[in-house]
Amino acid sequence: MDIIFYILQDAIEIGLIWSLMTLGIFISFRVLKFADLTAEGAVTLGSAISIALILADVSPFIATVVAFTGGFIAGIITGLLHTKLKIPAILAGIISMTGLYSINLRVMGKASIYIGDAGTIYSFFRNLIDQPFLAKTITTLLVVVIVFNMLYWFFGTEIGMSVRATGMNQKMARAQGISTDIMIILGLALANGLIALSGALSAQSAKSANMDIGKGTIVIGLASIILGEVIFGKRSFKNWLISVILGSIIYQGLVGVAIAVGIKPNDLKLLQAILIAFILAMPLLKRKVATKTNRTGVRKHA
Amino acid sequence: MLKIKDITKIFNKDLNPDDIKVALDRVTIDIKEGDFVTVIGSNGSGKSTLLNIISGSLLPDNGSVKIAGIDVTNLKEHKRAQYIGIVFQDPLSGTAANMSLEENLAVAHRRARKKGLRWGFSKNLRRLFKEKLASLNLGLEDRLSHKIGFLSGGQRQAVTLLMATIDKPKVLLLDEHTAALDPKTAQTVLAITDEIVTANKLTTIMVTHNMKDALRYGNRILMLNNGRVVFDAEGDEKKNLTIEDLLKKFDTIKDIELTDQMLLAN
Repeated sequence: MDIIFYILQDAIEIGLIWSLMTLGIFISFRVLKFADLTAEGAVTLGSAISIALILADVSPFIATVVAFTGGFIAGIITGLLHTKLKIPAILAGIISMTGLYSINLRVMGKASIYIGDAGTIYSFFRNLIDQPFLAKTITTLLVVVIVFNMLYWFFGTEIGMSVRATGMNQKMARAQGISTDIMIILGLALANGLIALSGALSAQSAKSANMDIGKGTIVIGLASIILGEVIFGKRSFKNWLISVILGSIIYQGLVGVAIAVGIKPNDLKLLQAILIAFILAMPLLKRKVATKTNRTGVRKHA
Repeated sequence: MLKIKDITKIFNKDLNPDDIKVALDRVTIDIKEGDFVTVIGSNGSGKSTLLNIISGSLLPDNGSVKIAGIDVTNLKEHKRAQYIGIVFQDPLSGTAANMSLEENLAVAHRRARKKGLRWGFSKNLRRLFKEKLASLNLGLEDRLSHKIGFLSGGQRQAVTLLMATIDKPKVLLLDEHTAALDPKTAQTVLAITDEIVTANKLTTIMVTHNMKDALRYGNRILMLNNGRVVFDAEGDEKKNLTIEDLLKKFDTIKDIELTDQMLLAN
């Protein structure tokens, strides 16, 4: 029974932190329908900035805000590359991601940094509550709840609805007086800001930052989104946002189970890749199966 | 209200001379406030290009477009949208499928104004949307929170029409907006169109393939051919026109083959 308890605990702790990243991926991939690869660099950027600043004696709170801002700016750059310089979405993301690699190394100074005993954003509740899991989870949950409410509010405002309309139908958006360029830039900025914020929390939770933290971000994010959608639906925008957050926790739970049954952490990425390919192919597979049963159905009648 | 002057648009300019297509050839049209103009012409006559140049999704090679005295020739599409309401041919084009009816209407409601961080709806707005939807007589007023994607093509076009006109535009553009609908639905949407245009005294341009509709609606008719206005009638002259008259016009411009296409389209 213990193992189940630990898997659950990890899923909540890690899943909540990554749910912020998943919300970012959700904004770029789902709301804007923009396959943005900046994400992989933005996670590392967020963790690098926050840890480097804490090491430089900046307050963890400010370090976290700056990390968000860093990701926000990275998103603006990808947006400008795409809208103003007409670079295809995927390439614009790859360019930002590649550039971020060097920037991240510069911010950290070396491939990985530790903060030792320095305080983090988690210290406040950790000093109040003598239970690491509870203290961490309350902190992250607080951030997630604030972010969720702000996102829900933002996407219901005139500008937020314009971002959503742009992602769904640019022709309609322009006809309704929406500057689609600005909405794409704004959406990507917000997305990568959240992704960097997630990196910042993850790094502070682990008390370290390293260059590898961003690897596989997009796959994890997409898999979490899809899991959330399938299990909890997307009837309204609010429902959709909640599904995405819960999807992230469930995904981490599945990863925990995979490791518990003996799959090596090094093989996880391959498993993730296969899983995401399978999930993305689901609609097509479903249709194929449907037509096949239809055909056999017809044959039976004939 | 709408002054189109000497508009020329040439496609495939960079290709060899044989491929050059002159879509519009020094077209000048002056449309008065409150005019409801129907535009007919065969495929490739330039009617869609004309609408796209007015809406700003295409820029002309030459000439100018003025709306209510303002030169909009080089204004970007989304900036020009403050003056223009548009309904496209494809029912999927005019609305955001994954957003609810009220969200679509809320976006459209701010068409002419700056979008800020105000919450998209209010009680008053919802009441206005309900009222407007009820006026369509399609039973949509009870489905404010439904996603637009669940509506039929005809319903979507009716909603798009509402979106294009909810914030009274200086010019309403209808780009064969009933061509993708079945005949019965097309007539319903046309009737709604006529009602909205008349009630709001909207300056309107309706491009259509259907000569009957072009004669039945509006107070002025334009016929385009090979990028030029070849026929222009308004008032009583238009009222007394028949399909035979229009066909004769087509004959005189020796476009028999294309006329056949138009007959088939009816």
